[in-house]
Amino acid sequence: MPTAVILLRDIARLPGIEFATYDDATVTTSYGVVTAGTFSPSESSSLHEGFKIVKGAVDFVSAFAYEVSQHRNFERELSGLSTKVAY
Amino acid sequence: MKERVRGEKFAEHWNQAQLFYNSMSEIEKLHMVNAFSFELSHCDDPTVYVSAIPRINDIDHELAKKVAENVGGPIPDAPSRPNHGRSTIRLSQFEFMPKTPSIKSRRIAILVADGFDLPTVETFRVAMKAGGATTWMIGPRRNKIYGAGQTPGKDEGLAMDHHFESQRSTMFDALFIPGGAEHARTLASNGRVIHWILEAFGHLKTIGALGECQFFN
Repeated sequence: MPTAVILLRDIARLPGIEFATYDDATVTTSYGVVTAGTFSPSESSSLHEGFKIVKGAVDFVSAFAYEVSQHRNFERELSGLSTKVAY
Repeated sequence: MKERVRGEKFAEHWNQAQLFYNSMSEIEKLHMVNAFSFELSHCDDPTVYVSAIPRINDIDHELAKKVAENVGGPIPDAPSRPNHGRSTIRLSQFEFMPKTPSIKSRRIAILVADGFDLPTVETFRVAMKAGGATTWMIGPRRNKIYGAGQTPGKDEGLAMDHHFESQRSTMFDALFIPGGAEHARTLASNGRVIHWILEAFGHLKTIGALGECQFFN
């Protein structure tokens, strides 16, 4: 289990989110929370060439950038998840 | 007797409001329910919220019922006038999203502590910069923070832009948390960091996290 993922899942306890479970480059995106074990080797070497911001991207940076480009994850609010956290 | 009077359509006050409401997306309608409810809940005099509900019912019956239930006003049995059901373009804010997704000008906060994955952070920052976003290093002190394997005083470390207490998630569009066992333990034991994460989550912001090893074992 990726370390920062443990932080989100077990410490912050973000509700209703699906997290990455492998310590590799497999990306999981759930209600605007993007997690993975690591960058893929090809991703690390190609990022200087730029990346595409597209929905459903399989590399971490593209998936993260797509979610940021949507401004907010409104599905999180419509699903009631945002009202379950205290801050 | 000749009269200079307004045309009949000036006596109609509700069609445009209905058109606007009908044109909203599901989340925008929810925000309107919440906004009406928030404001009217602050009105202690029942005269205010009791008389506001019928006016909202003039626009949309479902909207009025939800607001009435939230603020303790009389729940209307029926619409006071039929909703014409028409909607139009260029009213919902979602119609103004860029055709090509972009992260230009977005501010990304990167939360770190000593022992973080420095190479990953450097790669991530290059990528975000290429996309036109800015990244901001947030750590336990506004000073050098050292990556995993680095030695203070010997290695460069990375300068922070802010420490956890001197900035807030509300000033950023997204959070990124890299991996690193010692760094993750430090973040996990810091209540302000947890607050950063929960506040960003509650505000529907993107949160990204990476990591390579388990530390709870």
